[in-house]
Amino acid sequence: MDIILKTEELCKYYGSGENQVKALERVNVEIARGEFTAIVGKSGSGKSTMLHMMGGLDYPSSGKVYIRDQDIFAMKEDALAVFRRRKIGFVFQAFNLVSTVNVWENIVLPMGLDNQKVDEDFVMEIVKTLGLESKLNAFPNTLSGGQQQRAAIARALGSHPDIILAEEPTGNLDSKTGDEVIGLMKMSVHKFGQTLVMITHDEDIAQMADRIITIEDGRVVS
Amino acid sequence: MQTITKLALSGNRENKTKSILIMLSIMLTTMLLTAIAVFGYGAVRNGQVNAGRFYGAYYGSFGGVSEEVLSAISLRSEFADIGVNSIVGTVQGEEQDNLALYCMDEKARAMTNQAENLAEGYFPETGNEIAGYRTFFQAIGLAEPKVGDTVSVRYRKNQQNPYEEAQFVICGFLEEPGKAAQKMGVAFVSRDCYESVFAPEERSYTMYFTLNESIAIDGGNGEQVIADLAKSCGIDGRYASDNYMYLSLALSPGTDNILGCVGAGLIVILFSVLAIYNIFQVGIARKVQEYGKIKALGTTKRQMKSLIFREGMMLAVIAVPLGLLPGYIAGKLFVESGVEHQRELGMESLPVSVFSLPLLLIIVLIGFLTVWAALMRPMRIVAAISPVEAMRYQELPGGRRSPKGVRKGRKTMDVKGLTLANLSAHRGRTVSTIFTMGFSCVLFMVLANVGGNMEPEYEARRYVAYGDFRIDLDYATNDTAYPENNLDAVLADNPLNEELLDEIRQIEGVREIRTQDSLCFIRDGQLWSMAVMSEEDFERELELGSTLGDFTYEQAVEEGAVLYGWSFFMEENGFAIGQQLDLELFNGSRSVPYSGRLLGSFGGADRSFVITDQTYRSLGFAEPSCGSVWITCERGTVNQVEEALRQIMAEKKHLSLESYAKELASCEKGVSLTRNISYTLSIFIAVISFLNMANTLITSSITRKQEFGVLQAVGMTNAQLNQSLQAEGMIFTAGTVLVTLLVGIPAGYGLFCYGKSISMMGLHNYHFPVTETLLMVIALAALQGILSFTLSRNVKKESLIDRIRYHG
Repeated sequence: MDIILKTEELCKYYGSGENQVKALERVNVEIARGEFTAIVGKSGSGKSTMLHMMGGLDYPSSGKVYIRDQDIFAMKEDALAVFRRRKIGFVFQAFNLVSTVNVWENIVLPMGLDNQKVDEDFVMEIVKTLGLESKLNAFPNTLSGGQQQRAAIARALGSHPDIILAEEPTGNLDSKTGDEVIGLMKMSVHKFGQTLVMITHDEDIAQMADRIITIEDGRVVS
Repeated sequence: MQTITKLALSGNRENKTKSILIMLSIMLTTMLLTAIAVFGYGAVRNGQVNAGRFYGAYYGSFGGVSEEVLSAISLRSEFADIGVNSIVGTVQGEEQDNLALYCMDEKARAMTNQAENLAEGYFPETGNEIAGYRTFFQAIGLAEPKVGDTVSVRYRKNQQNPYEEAQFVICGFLEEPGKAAQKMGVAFVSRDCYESVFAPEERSYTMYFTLNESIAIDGGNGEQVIADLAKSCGIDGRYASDNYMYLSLALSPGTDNILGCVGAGLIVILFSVLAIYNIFQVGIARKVQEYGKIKALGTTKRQMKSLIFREGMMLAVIAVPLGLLPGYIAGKLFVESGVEHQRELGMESLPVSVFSLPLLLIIVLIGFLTVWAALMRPMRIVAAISPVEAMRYQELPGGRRSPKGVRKGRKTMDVKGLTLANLSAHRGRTVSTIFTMGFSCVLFMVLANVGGNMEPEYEARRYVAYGDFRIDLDYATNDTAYPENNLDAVLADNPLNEELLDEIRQIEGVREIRTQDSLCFIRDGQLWSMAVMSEEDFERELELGSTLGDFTYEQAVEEGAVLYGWSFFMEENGFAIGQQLDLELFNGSRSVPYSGRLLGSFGGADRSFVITDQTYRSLGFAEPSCGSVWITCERGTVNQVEEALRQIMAEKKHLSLESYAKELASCEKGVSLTRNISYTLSIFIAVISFLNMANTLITSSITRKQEFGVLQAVGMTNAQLNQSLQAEGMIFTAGTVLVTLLVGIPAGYGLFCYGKSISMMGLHNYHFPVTETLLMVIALAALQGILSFTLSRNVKKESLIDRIRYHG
């Protein structure tokens, strides 16, 4: 099995002494290339913290995260940022599109930051797949929630990342749009050969994944 | 209402950055306004208090007043105080001519500051008492005069009487004057003595007077009022004169000063209102949702207005008093530096208090009114907020609404593109910030165009045109009290004769001397001076500008024309271009009739009229009639030559010496004072505007915290974040510089040309103020760089994940 992402004894503690909160406790998971993994758990279980660690957005108290055998926390801050834009795509619950640029510019932004030449054909293919052709010049705030999330997914896919990390991507959407977005996301990662790790508290959505990791009180239970 | 106050207080506490920036703006505004007001007040007070010291504390004088007329005048209600002075006779001296005895009463002594000249003893009160300069007594043969010594004086009361000897007892000595060398041969005797020499019908006085408060008189109408008064008193208008400087400084309310200060104050207020308004506006836009919630809870429009008003006033209550003290100190320092400058010019002034409680209270009031004016629009906006719309309002960086519609966009999007997109999405905010900052720098630029072009060397050359020293005839043109000081009398016994010029030539270190002849003439009873200019003098005077009429040296020679010396006063003195003048020119030894046309006027020649040297010769004047001498020294001999010149001049009267080095030092001081005041003012205004720009950038960085977080999550490095913030700042700086140069250079050049046309201090050749411009750009870029650096550090203080989760 080709392991693309691995955590080793990953811990994240907040506070100290009696007030210490163990958000993650010795988490060891392995994600295979091309796999669609759902991380489920109740609110406060530590699933978001785990996703942030996997994406190098937050630093662990101890433990390691390897992406393609690279210890991401051994890298300097700026090197990690470069690594992120090349290897990881993020999809957030609140879409988090840049409001001052249009949809196309949002999608090509990670490539621009990396001084990469935009592969316009590839990006257009993603755009068509996600049904955003008519919205490319629109500002994000003129789009519906579903359209914004599709734009965010396109941004995550655009720079050919190895892994897509999605944090409750349907949390701000109604259930019909949510199902549609997950369907598109699954189809896209499959089509473009990417790995998808998604956190959700929606059991129905989790069932669409190849594998489900359940987390409770900061520990992986299944 | 207490709830509103609490809400306002918590609003200010919550947004500390905004509150601090507003307080700083208000504080700087109050400081500037206080400094301007204190400076203006100090200048006016200094003029009022010291006018009498510098120019004599009388409104005007009448000459040739008989005993009978004097008695009649003293009964008139228009006159408040009258002091009289009369010549008792001319004295025969051993070494020096033109010694004179005068009788001056106590009031005249007080009015003409003669009383302050008493160095020892007292002024003559009775009988044969006499007080005078030591040099007077030395001139009549008393080597070491002392109070109580009896002195024998040979004098005659007029040219119809022979010299007679009289015994006097010295009762006092006068302090030797510095510059007014012509008065050194003067002594005063008592009224008893005067009355014993002159029978009542022979008596003739020069009377100095002040007028009753009911007479409306100041510098503007003084000449007319006094002329009218002279007419009604039966005094010949030629012998009436007003004390213009005293009337202007002591009685006019310092109109120029006040207007200047009000103008500067209004500029400060304008920029402050803009800056405070902008800061408030940006803050309000950030809190629209919150205001919507407050309104939804049932707050009335009036209460909403009151909320904003109180937010602003709370900050003003702290900031206004904080600005008062430094402003007062700055104003006081400026006044002191002005007084110091006067002192260096030889005008010792009495200290004046610049403290005025009513003035400071007015400044406090203006400070609050400025804040109120800045709050008016934000108050209206907040009052008009609809609760539903406000809660739906989507906030964006800088507090503007989300961009709507479409954007053509770019194929690729990098840091530069992102920065430009952000600025273009908030065009209004970007443009208003750039313009506020830009216009405050325009002010600096305009002042730099004037201040930076002031050449002290050029200004000093107005006084000493060539070489290192200038010796000029020291004369009057309407001295009725001391007619021997008038130019015709001085030329008749010209101290600048060949003998003196030879003496000067022989001084070791003198390399070259050049001379200019002088003439005079009487027209309608008034004595006028005239310079005889060579082509070089003529061209130089032309170059100084402020001329009237179009004329050249060749034209003046060809027509044998005459030029007026002071364009500003030509019309006022009743002359006009093209006017035919028939004059009797006098060079000290003979008079020659002249008839010619008035061709135009120079800006500010040393004499009232000018003719060319060729016209002078064509009139048949062959003998020299020197009026001015310029002396050029060998290197390193200036001090030694000056000493030698002073020694030579100590034995002469009616001469004045000006040194280029001293004029230059004085001009440098004047230019630097002007520059300091104007640059300080504009720098402070720029700082207030910079606070506005800082607020825009700080608010932008705070509200974009989440956006920065997301950008970093998708791969923006810290270096790119810094680059983005720096680029944004640099665009503001570049915009500011562009606005400043585009508006500031033409405006500054315009002001320079105007200043030159009115012969403003040292304005001659225009050169672009490179140093000032570079300093401004460097200061802007440095402030901007520091601000961007601090902002990017602050942004990075929070963890990436906290930033991504940040909401407003």
